[in-house]
Amino acid sequence: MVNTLPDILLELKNLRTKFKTFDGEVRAADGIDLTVHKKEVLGILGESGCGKSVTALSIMRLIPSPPGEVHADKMELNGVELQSLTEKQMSKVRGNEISMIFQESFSALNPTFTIGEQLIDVLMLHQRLDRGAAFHKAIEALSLVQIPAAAKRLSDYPHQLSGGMRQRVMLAMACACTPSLLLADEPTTALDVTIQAQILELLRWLQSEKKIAIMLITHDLALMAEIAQRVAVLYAGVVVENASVQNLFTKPLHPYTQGLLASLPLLEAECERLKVIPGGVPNMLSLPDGCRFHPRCPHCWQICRQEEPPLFPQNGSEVRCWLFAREMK
Amino acid sequence: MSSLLEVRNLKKYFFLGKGAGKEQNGVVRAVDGISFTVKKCETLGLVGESGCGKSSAGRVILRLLTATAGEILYEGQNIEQLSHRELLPYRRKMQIIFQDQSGSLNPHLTIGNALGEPLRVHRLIYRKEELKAKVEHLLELVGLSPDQMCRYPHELSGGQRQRVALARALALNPQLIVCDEPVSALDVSIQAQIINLLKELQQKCGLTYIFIAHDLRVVKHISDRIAVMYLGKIVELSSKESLYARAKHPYTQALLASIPRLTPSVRRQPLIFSGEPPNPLNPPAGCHFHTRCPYAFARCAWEEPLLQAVDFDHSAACHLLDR
Repeated sequence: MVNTLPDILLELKNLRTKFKTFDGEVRAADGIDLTVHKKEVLGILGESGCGKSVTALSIMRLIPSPPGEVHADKMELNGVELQSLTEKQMSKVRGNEISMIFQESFSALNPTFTIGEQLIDVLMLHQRLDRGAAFHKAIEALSLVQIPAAAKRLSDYPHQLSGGMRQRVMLAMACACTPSLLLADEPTTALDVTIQAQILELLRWLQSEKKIAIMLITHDLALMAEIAQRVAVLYAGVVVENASVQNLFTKPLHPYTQGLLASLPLLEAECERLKVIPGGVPNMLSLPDGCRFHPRCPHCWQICRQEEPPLFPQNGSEVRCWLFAREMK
Repeated sequence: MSSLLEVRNLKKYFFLGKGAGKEQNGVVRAVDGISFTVKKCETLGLVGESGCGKSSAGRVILRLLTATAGEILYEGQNIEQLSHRELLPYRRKMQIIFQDQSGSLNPHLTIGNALGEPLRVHRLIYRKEELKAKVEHLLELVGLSPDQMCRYPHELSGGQRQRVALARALALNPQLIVCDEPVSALDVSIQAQIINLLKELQQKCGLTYIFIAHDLRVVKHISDRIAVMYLGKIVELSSKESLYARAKHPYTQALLASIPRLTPSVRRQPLIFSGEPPNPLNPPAGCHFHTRCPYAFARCAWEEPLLQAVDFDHSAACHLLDR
């Protein structure tokens, strides 16, 4: 795949998000580097507790402090360092430049206001529209996400809508101010397959037609294959593999990625037993020494137990595994 | 293979707003006349979108909910009519595991106590040492170490809790286990472990499963036969091979087409149908699916299709089959 490098939209270098707890310090994100290019879908893949949501919330500066603490060497959106912005400037960035949707569409919407009121609020605040203009823009936003009879829906409360509809409203709200980056945190996990397919279609349309870059956070490998262009695989707070989606599915490099792919039941073939990754995700309070994955890794050797590997470049991908160290071979 | 469980025209209606001083203002036909048989040692998959009645069906079969109508024959005995006392021996033979593993374990009980409880309730084991040995055996059976006995549920991970829930279900040597979305709340790498465990135990203990799920990948892997439900009715019932190769009902076809593929080069074709499931309080007349069906014609709107055989061990409910 020949790809002229599009411009960089978001650059994240060495993101470290820590939480102080009674049991000790949890490093939920422990040196995460990510780049999102304009108009692309970057997938963030990982199991629960690997730091994928924390990464998104850190970018939005929505981590409460205390107990959280966010540091990054670089967190630039369109060349603007987000960490240096004041709270007031940041709230302009949220919604206008970056917006976010969540898995739980029900708790993300306010149950005591109609969706119209909530949408109009967003538009009045971020775009400085008057109520009338915001009202028309809200209808437009709802029809954009293919909600039938949008004008009528404005006076509905969140509980009157189905899960799929609520997720559409969330999307409408997130995209009402045409941000350049949409952070989608497990947007389809709570939905049925048929509805999930519809929302995916919508995300794909927003990306190709509205030129919104999407950072899609999910644990679902198949979703990645459907929509992402590049994928970053997270494990216990670090990126273990960075690859184009083709590379990730045809030649996964990191033993963790390989294990994940092998553990999925296939539609096309029959097998008696699924291959499994032994063990479970490590406790973030007591991470293993060396490579974080080594207790579960089938290829583990001496150095894996002692030293944490850096990201090694390999055939256009990057992988955090000693197996790919040049000088070791 | 003989049949273990037979369900005949089972119905479960929920009446809304019925109660003291209230007018009845609606009926949800959660399960609306389903019939199927489950053979010994096989796995019947029950799939459908949320609200289609698959969980209600599972619970009615175990008599955790009372059926509105219909028969549940367990080894030929209609358990629908049995009194609480008469039902007890059957309770031992039928168990259930749930999706939410932390909600299904009592947070105040240690794992050992939780596993011992069914044995004490059914008065199978009295002596302490015997109970301890049995609990240890159960933990080993599901791949946990016996020293987990003194732990509390919150000290375990999600996967381990699901193993405990499974061990508790196995405590009474059941024949039938209803698995209500047992892996959907687990991480991908843990899902595979639990699925393998379920399959292993099925062979080791001769278990029969009713596997309720919405993930068609997982269902395909674990089931022998599959029933597809839509708004309280079974629209297609078939052996797994036949269903995935030659789905007859447009709804099944749509479900299968909605599964995201794992090959990024072959991305999905445009959707063949849109819309959301209708309100179960007020389902469409005729074929419930006709409002979303791309092939619907006049007859679908007024006449309800019945399940008819289309192949060996494969039946579907659709008017297209008559054309």
